[in-house]
Amino acid sequence: MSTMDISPAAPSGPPRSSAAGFNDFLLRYASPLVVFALLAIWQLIAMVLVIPVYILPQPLNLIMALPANGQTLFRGWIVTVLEASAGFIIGNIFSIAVAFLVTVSRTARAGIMPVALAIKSVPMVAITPLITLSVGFGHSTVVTVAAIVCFFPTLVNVSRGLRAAPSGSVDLFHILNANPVHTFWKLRMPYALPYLFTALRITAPAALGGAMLAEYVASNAGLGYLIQDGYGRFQFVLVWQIVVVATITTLVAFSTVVFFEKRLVDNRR
Amino acid sequence: MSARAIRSETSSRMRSLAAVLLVLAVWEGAARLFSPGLNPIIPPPTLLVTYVADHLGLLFVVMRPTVIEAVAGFAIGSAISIVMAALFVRFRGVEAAMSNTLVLIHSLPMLAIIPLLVIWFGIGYTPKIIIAALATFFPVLNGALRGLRSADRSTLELMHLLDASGLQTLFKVRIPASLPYIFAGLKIAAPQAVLGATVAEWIGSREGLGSQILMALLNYDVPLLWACMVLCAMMAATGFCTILAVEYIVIGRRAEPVKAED
Repeated sequence: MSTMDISPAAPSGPPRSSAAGFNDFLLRYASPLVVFALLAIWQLIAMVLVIPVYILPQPLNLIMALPANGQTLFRGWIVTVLEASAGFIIGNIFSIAVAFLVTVSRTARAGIMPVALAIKSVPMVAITPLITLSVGFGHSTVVTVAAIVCFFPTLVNVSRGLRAAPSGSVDLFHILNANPVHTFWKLRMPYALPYLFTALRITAPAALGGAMLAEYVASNAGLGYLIQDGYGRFQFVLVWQIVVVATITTLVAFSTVVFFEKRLVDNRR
Repeated sequence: MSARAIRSETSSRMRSLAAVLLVLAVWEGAARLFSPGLNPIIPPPTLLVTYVADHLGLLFVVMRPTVIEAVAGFAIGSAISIVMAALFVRFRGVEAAMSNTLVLIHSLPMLAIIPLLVIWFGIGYTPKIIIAALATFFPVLNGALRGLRSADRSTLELMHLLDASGLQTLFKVRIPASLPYIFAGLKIAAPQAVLGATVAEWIGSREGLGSQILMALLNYDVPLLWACMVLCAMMAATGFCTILAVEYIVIGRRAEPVKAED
């Protein structure tokens, strides 16, 4: 799994003494405090050393310039989010369908999986220009790239998950003469859910990254394009704001997946 | 492994091979049939092979900087992340203090920080190495953290009873136990390092695979684009296989295969 799961260390158990309570307090709040401290140090250094904006803008600069750049940022953001979401949905639906096919038929598995793994090992950076050539400049390329980014992690994980159902239950479904669709929805899918969410944790941020990557070469809208554009026009504050916005969006996408995972997946397994 | 299992394994390998060959054959036929023009977007595989054979020198020159950056970034990134994981496991406070910052850094879009790195460090190797190191960092950190925590509890208690020092416990128990996990992380990270170096070359670079890919796109040089793409994939695969080989040498077969979920 390439996604970090260093969650803030949650102190377990009730606080024992006041010293332990303070320790718990530190464990719980140190992490956000460090982030704020780093921001403050950044602001101070940039201010005291009078570092030019093109090298390191001050955090306050970024906030002050929000009204001026707000509209540009929002327009780019909405395009990226829409493209990434479309790619995310399309890629995942396709890969769940293929995963189903691969689980049902051994021939399909032998035929599809090696090809899929071969394509998966081609880095996205290398494929994007090719997709640009074949799909054309614009939204369709971006959505395609985002979909491809989502396709493989989900395929690998879900096809593993679909085989995670205990063979006893599979046999029972067989004896009860359940059709493959029933077996899929009632048995295999519930067992595959944790695997699906493992993939979604990866693909939700990756779809955004892929969309931005594609926008950088093959689009004239979206955050990826704005990075290229802002960088080319020496609008460094804008580029920094995009970094912040993209980071927050990625975090929100990841947290959304985790939110649904907590609701839908039985964590005891 | 029983004879039957081996036979079924072989037959599934044969089927996979057949599938790949079939795809290549269909690709070749379709490409020759439907786009006989000069610059088809999907050139037939044979054309690619001849192109690569004709331009070996150019491709080598193109590949060299990317290899250097990816390898350097991979080495630096994995070294830092393993040391950091050891610190996290030893001092819980450090992890608690750093976790949010690390998650933030992890969520930074690679593409967005490359221009900034170029401004700071110029268009040389440094920004690319940093990006490759960043791409390596998190999978390895994740693997190392899990691995160092995976040590058998009773063994740890035994070490405690024997009055072993923290370092002794680290080197005798935790690190050996963590190796399969660390290698799982490294296996994810090796292709990521290639990817990071290549993306970084998109921006502010005059050499390397990444910039060559962009040039090929802008010049509509489809065979070159394909050759770069295949090279890129082969570099990623080579990285993966190298780690696999090292893993085999270091821990051999006895290691429980930790599935790389990427």
